[in-house]
Amino acid sequence: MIQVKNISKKYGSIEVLNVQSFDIPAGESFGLVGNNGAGKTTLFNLLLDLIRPTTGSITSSNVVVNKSEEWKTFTGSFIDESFLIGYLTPNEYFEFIGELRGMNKADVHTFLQQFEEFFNGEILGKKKFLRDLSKGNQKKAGIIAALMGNPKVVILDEPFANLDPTTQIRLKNIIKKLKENKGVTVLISSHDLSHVTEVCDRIVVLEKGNLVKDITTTALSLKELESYFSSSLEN
Amino acid sequence: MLLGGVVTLQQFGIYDFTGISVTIFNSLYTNWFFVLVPLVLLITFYVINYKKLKNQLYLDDAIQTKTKEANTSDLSFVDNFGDLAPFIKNEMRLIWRNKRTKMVFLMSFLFLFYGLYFFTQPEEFGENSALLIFGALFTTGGFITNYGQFIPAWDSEYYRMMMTQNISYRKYLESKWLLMSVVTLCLYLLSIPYLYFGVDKFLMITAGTIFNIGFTTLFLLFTGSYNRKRIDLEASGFSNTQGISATQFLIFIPIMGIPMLFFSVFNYFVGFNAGILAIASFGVLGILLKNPIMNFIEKKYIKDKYATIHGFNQKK
Repeated sequence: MIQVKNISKKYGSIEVLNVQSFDIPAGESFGLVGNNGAGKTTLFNLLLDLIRPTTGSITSSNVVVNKSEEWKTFTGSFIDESFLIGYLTPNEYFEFIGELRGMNKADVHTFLQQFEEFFNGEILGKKKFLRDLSKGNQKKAGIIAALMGNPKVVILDEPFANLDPTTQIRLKNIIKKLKENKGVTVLISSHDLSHVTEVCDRIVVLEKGNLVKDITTTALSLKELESYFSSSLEN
Repeated sequence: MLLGGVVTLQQFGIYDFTGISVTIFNSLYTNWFFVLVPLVLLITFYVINYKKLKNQLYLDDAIQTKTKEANTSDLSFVDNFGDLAPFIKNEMRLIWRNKRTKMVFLMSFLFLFYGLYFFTQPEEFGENSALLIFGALFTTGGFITNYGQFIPAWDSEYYRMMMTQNISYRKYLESKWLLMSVVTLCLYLLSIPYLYFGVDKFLMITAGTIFNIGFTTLFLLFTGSYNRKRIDLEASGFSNTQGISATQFLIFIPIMGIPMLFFSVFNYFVGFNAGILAIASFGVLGILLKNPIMNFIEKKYIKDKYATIHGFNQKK
């Protein structure tokens, strides 16, 4: 589904990312972990063609991401609150994104109904603008908007951060359902090792821009990752 | 109701022009009539729609206790604009719900009084000098110059998100063009009282409006691709200099300079009417060539995408 080929990104003389090729098959839930500055957000920005690669390219479903805009028709993403339009209400925002993805008001309404529990009554139907919602609620709105229009690829940057425990659990279920029912390829980055091992089939560790670990998730993965990150303290 | 409105305006248009019978200018007015009526008819439709929408949006904000259903259904007949609708709806909310944009929008109406200053000082500016053209341009150009020159920086906060969506950049730009043109036309209609100062002054304003819509809107969309400064919408409206750089001042040179130059040359060698026609023709040319020009502008925006994203990302 997604092929990353010899991708690197340099700012001046500082190289922030340098990864040889790896592939993400369709329907895989892919977890990206690493300390700050590891290059996670850089990789996601490259996947979404928000920055230009210094070398290499990324292909998504046979579309070269920085050469064509086709990938936008099947990719949903949420990186941070800057992906929200602050002066819209959540409903207006969902309708706007929906319109861009060929959904009319009825479609949007039907789609949002399945997330009523997730929203906990704090987001829909209120007359608040997105900029006036709490950070957690903003995030909820942004994540759900990324799922609109039946995307084949969903990219979420640290989706669990700032969410309360119940919401985190609900989000994990939502992601699991995406995979199972629709075969969506989900890419998640997180600082929380336990979330990532719970939700992702495969986990990749970045360290200072390099890919240092690529494992298939098993019951032992959490311990493995924890010992990796604590040992890098001692080194 | 729309048809009635259009017909009324047309009647008004006819009345306005033929009512003024100055002997030498009679034939000229028939010419103006033919040039302007299709233009007025074409854009009047949008004007009426837009004015209606603007009113309803304002009322909605003022009555806070209204339910969510009322809020969203008010803009539903923007959908008449087809695929420009989502962008236009957003733009209207953008202008009305943020301090700086709201101030800029309202200030555009204050610019209508520019003409008062220029047209009442014949000693200083001369009866038909190019400086009066400057005043005429500003009279209807308030919105374009204050709001249009920062496009697309108004969207800078969420520009990255827009770039990840399947948005036709062309439609995005078209919606901005439509907004600028419609508001300029509204300002033009509000400037009709300037007839009091003489038909020639009003002709200057008319020519200026055609130039503003035909040339300046497209020019500002083009220079907008060089806008790299982020604008925080929530910052207060007054003494807010975000987004302003040297380019802003450079922009004024062609949008004021071209009409003033054309007018001076044609007025000097041929006459007043030629000067007016020169400015208006330039504007009409812009309208006729809109499609290829927009193609060019669109390509420029797509080419500069990374630089724009990078620039808009720089928070203070």
